Amino acid sequence: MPKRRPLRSFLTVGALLVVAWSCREKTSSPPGGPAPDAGSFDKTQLLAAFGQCAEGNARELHARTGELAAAVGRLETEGDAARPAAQDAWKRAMDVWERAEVFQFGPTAPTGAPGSQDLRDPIYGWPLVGRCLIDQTLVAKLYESSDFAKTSLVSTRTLATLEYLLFYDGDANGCPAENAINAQGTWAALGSAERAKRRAAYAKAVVADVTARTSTLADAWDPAKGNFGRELTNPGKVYPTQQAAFNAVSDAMFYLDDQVKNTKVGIPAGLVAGCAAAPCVDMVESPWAKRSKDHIRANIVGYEQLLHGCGAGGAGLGFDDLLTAVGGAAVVTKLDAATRDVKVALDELKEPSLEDDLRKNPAGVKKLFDALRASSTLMKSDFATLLAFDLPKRLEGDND
Amino acid sequence: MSRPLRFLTVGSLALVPMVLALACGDDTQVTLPKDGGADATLSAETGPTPDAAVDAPASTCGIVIPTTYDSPQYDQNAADELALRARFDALTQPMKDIESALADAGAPPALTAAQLRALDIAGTPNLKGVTTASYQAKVDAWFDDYEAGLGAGAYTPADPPTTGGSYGKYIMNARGVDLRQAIEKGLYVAAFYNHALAAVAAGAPTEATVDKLVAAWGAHPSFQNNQNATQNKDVNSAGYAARRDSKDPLKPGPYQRGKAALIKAKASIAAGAKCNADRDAALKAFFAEWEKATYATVVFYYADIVAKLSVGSPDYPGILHSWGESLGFVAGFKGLPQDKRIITDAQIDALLAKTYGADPIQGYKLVTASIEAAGKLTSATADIKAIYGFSDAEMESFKKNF
Repeated sequence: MPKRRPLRSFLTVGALLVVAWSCREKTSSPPGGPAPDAGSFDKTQLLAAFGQCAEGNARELHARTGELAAAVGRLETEGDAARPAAQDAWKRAMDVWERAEVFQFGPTAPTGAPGSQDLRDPIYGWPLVGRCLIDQTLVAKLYESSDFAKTSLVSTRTLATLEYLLFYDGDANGCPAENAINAQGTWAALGSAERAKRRAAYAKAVVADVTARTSTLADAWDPAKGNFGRELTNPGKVYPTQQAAFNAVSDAMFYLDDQVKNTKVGIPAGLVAGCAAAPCVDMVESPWAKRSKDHIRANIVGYEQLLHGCGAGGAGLGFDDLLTAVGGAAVVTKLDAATRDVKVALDELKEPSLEDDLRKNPAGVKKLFDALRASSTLMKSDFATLLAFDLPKRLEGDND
Repeated sequence: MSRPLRFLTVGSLALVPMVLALACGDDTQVTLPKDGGADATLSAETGPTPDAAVDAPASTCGIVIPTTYDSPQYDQNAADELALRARFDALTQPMKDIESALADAGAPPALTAAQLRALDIAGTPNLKGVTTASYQAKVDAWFDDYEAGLGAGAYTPADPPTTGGSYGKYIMNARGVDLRQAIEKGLYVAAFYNHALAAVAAGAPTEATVDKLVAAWGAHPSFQNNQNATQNKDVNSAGYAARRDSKDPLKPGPYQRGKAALIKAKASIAAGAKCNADRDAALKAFFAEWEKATYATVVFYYADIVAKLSVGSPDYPGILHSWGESLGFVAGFKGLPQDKRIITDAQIDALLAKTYGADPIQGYKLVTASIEAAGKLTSATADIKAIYGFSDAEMESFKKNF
C-alpha cells in the first residue's frame, strides 16, 4: 500500500516532549498507560492526518447535504416527480455521513467528551427516530415553528427523520390508536395529498437545519476557522496529552463494536439483548430506505480511513503506521484479516435488505456478527494494549 | 474548577447507555443555589476537592474524621427504621407479586385496598404514621385505585380518562399512574425522609440518631454503594443514590457524599459540644445529598421516558412506569418542612404541573399526546438543573445507571 511517510523532525519530537512533560504535570491520570516508544515516528503528523481526514469528510458531507437541500426543495414544487432525486441525494449524503460516524472525536464526540460540540446527534440522531413523534409533528405542523430546530427533539429531525419523510409515503402512522392524532382523527382527516405536501415541507425544514449543522461541523475542522486539528496536534488545551488525543480517536473506532456489531447487527438478529423475539427487523438502522447494509459498508470505510489513512487505497498515515513503529506490524496484519472477514460476511448477505437477510439467512447475519466480534476483540486486546489505550468507558461490561 | 461541559441536546439521549469518556480532572462538586436553604456543599465544608471530602473529611473542630462508619450497636439503634423498611417491603411485595404474575401471563393474586391499608398501618412505628399528611392522602386514594385497577382488565390510556387496569405488567389508575411506583417512590421521601427529619428533631442528635439516618436512607454501615450487592445492599433512596454515583472516589457522587456526611456527623457528635457546628453542617449536607440524589433520579427517568418515546415502537407501559416513578420522587417532597430541603412547594407544584402530575393527574398524555409530553419533560429537566445548580457534567451522569 503506498504511503507517504512523515519526515523525521527532531525539533518536532523535542517540542512534543516538552509539551508532553508539561501536560503530564497538569493531569493526574492521563488515559491509558505511558505512550509506547515509537522511535522516530512522528506522532504529531499522524494526529494531523486524522484531523485532515475528519475535515475532508466534513467538507464532503456539507456539500452532499447542500445537494440534498436542493433536491428536497424541489419536492415542494414538483411533488412526487422529484422524490427519486431527493432519495438519491439522501443516500449520497448518508454514504458520507456513515463514514464520518466513525470519526466521533472532537466536534462530534459524545456530549462531555473533550472538544465535543454536540454536533453528532443533530446531524444524525439514530437510533433516536420517533416515528410517532414525527407523525404528530407532521399533524401539528410543528416544523413550521421558527425555533423548531432549537426546541424540538432530535428524534423528530436529522438525517434519520429525513429517511422516514422521503422514503415512506403510506397512509398509516406510527402512533397507537389512543394517540390524539388517531383518537381524534386528525391524521386521517389530512388525506394523502395533504400529508405528502406536509412531508415535503417538513423535510425542507429538517434539511435546512441539517445543512446548517454540517456547515458548522466543516467550519469546526476548517484550519481557517475552528481548526480543531490544532487541538488534536497540540495537546494541553482540549486533550491533556498527546496520548489522550490518540485515545480519543481510538475510542471513536470502537463504533464498529458498540454500534455496528451490537446495535446495527446484534440487536436485530437477537444476538444482543434488546430484541424480545428474533429477528427484530423493525430495529434495523434503515427500515425505510433499506440501506442498513450500505451504512455498515460506509462505517467500515471510515474505520479503515483511521486504521490505514484517508487517501485512495489507504494512502496516508493511519494507526497502522503507529502500530508498525512500535513493533506491531503483526497486529496490523491481524486487523486487516479481521476486517476482510467482516467485508466477506457482509458481501455474502445477498438479499436486497438486511431485513430480508435476517428473515431468510440468519446464519449469514450471525457470521457477520461473529466477524465483527473477532475484529472488536483484536481492537480491545492487541490494538489497545500495544498502543496503551484505555477502552471507551461505554464498553464497560461488554464481555466480548 | 470543573471544566464546563455542554448540556446534552435531547438527541444525545441516544447515547444514554454510553458512559462518557470524561477526561481526567473533572470536578463534580455540586453548587447549591444561594437561596436553597441548605448550607454549602459537603466538599466545601471539608476541603477544596471532592476526594478530600470522601477520603479525609476535615473537621473545623480539631478532630480526625474516620473514613469508615463504625457502629457496633447499629441494629439496636436503628431497630425502628429497619422495622419500617421491613414494613415497607411488606406493603410493596404483594404489588410486585402481581406484576410478576402479569409478566408471566398468569392470573394475578387478589389484593384489596383494605389489605394495603392494613399493611400501611401495621406495627409501631408504621408507614402511615411517619408519612407526610399530603402524601398519606394520595397513597390512601391510590390504594382504592389499585384494587379497582387490578379488577378492571387491560388499561387503555384515554383522554378523557376512563378506567384503570393492567398495562403490560403494571397496575394503572385511569389517569395513567403506575400505582406501585407512585406509592413506593413517594414513600421513600414522604415516609423515610420525613421520619429521618423527625429523628434529628427529636432531641440533641446522638450517634444512635445517625444510625437511624443510615437505615432510613436505605444504606448499611458498610456502605456498599451498590443496589445489587450480595450482602447489605443499598435499598430505597440509598439504592437510587448509588445508581447516581459513578463509584469513582475522585469524583464522588451523591452516595459517597452522603456517606461522608454521615461519617462526619457521627464523629462530630462523638467529639461533643465543640463539634456541634460540624455536626449540624454534616447533617444538613446529608439531607441535601439525599434530596439531590432523588431529583437526579427524576432527571434519569425524564431522560429515560424521552428516549423510550424516541424509537419506532415505543414501550408505552414502560414509559408510564418510568413516569410513575418520577411522579413519586417529585411529589414525595411536598409538605416536608421547608427549612429541611432545597426545593420549595411552589417549585414542586410547577414541576408537577408541567409534567402532568398536578391534580387532576394526566399521565395518560404521555401516550395520547407524546410529542407534547416529551417537550414538557425536557423543559422540566432544565428546571431541575436550575433549582439545584447541577453542572452539565452532573446532568449527563444522572442519565446513566452506575
